[in-house]
Amino acid sequence: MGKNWMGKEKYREIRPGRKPFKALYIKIALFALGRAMQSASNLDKNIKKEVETWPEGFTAMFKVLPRGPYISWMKEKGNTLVYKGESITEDEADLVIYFKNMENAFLVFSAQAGTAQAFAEHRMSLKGDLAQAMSLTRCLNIVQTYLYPDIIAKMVFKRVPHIPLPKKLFYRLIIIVLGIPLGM
Amino acid sequence: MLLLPSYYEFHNPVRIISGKKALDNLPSELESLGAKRPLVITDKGVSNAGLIKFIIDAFKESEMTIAAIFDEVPPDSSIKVVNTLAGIFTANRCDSIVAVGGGSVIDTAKGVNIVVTEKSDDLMKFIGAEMLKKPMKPLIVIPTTSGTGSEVTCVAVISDTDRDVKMAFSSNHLMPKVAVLDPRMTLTLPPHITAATAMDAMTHAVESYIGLQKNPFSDIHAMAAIRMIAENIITVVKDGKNEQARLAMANASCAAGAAFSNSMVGVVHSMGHALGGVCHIPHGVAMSIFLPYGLEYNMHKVGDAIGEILLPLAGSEIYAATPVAERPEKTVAVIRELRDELYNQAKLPRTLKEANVSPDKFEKIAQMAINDGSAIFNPEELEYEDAIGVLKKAYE
Ligand SMILES: NC(=O)c1ccc[n+]([C@@H]2O[C@H](COP(=O)([O-])OP(=O)(O)OC[C@H]3O[C@@H](n4cnc5c(N)ncnc54)[C@H](O)[C@@H]3O)[C@@H](O)[C@H]2O)c1
Ligand SMILES: [Fe+2]
Repeated sequence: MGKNWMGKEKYREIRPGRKPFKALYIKIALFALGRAMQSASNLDKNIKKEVETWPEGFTAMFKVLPRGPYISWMKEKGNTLVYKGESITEDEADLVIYFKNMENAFLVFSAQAGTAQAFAEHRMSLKGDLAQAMSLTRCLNIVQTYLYPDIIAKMVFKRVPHIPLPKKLFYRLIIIVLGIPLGM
Repeated sequence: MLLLPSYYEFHNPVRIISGKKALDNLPSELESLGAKRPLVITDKGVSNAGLIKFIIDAFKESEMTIAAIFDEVPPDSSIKVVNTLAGIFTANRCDSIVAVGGGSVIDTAKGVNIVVTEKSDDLMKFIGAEMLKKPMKPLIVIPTTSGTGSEVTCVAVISDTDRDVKMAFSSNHLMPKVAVLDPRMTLTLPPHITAATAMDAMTHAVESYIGLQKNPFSDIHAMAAIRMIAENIITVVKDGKNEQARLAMANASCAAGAAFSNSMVGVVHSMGHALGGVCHIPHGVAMSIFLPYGLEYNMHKVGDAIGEILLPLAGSEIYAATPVAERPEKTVAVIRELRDELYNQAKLPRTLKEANVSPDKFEKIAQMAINDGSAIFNPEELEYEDAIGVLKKAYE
């Protein structure tokens, strides 16, 4: 085989590189979202209402294709959503929302695109029942409303879910101070 | 100015053959796909209309054997019939599928294709978006209604009669290989079904033109479809035997299918699927009822696009004579006039009341509508209270 000017083989194969910083960012963002969702499901009545419609033991997952990271939740007794991290496998999950690749996940988790837009742009795909995915998406919109500053929420949502301001600020505080770091 | 979306995808791999004696190319189309023993799937309405004779005739003087003909597809398809057909496919050593019918037959054929390709008897495993990874058996579609556009879409909707739900599958592999548009195949369609299915096609084109994922390619398909429908819909309802108008409608619904398969549909379909699920109102009838209300619902977000529809819908004179600011409302007004005409000609209901839908069903319909996948592609968010609002407006 020929050698190029650097002395390396000219027709070498190129193994896939990695994006460690993006991967780390997404991992952290997914963790925060996972914990925030768990915490918000104990606080927000609209999320509770959605979760009530899911069967007990129902598991939902977010996964970045092809290698992860991923997170999952399970609906447990009393209509609470419990963050399960990576302890549930893809096959076990009833509903999986996939990001086609890391860049697509990054767009969503850096608040450059909303869930609706990401679905419309084929950046996400789905395993499972569409009706349950719609319900999960509504929960996600509510959780993101607690997490995002209002001007960002206005940009990524078609319509920002309505939450009275005092409640929004109070729950936001609980989610950020207790929910995400302590899992409460 | 035409704004490009920041990102979009457009995919239509279906070979479209359209026009006089198009059907007679069926054997050669199958042959070029490497197929030898097609399974023909249809329903009783189509076979009773005498249309299967055209299929059998198309194979005369060819070297191809029709491995089996099945004409018992129920309305809206079902898992049971999909599994029965998968058994027939294997038992008769079939290697390809020819679907002859409306959306119900076409979606059944897509379901059968999933089961025989994945060699699994459990369709449930593949429910969802983009879950199918393997290339499928060659599927050729001959639409006999001009409505669903299912001959060029990556979607199949199959009902699970035991659980009383409709399951949605979507994957690029579900795309048929060839769509055959032959004017002979829709001549027997009765006026009421003609009108309803035409309004389904109209809704596909309109919703794709105003949807979240509209793009220059879907726009062109949508605009062409709206024009062909506007110019021919009354003719085909009044004079079903008019071959030219029938062929135009077949082309229009196919173009509308290519448009919405890529840019998706919105609130009219969310409401319509729910109305179909709860009250068993035929899909096209539901589309016709909700279309003007769906446009009004989205007016504040996509008024410009709604105004642009006036050109293909009403023609250049009316378009030019209407000031830009009035075009969105005019579009809705023209659609209302069209519905009045269809009511007079074919008794196509315009309101929920005319369709005998009672208001005590509204809660159930609204709940189902917000859980319908197409709501996510609608320009405006659809929440429960919104859906109730649309239902109230559409009542009388
Ligand atoms: N896959 C998709 O992209 C897509 C899109 C929209 C709707 N759909 C599905 O399509 C189905 C509706 O399809 P449809 O509106 O075409 O109706 P259909 O297939 O149910 O047919 C309606 C009736 O018309 C009869 N018929 C059909 N062609 C005829 C002809 N040429 N002459 C006489 N009678 C004829 C049929 O026998 C049937 O009784 C629904 O189940 C809907 O969910 C699918
Ligand atoms: Fe439709």
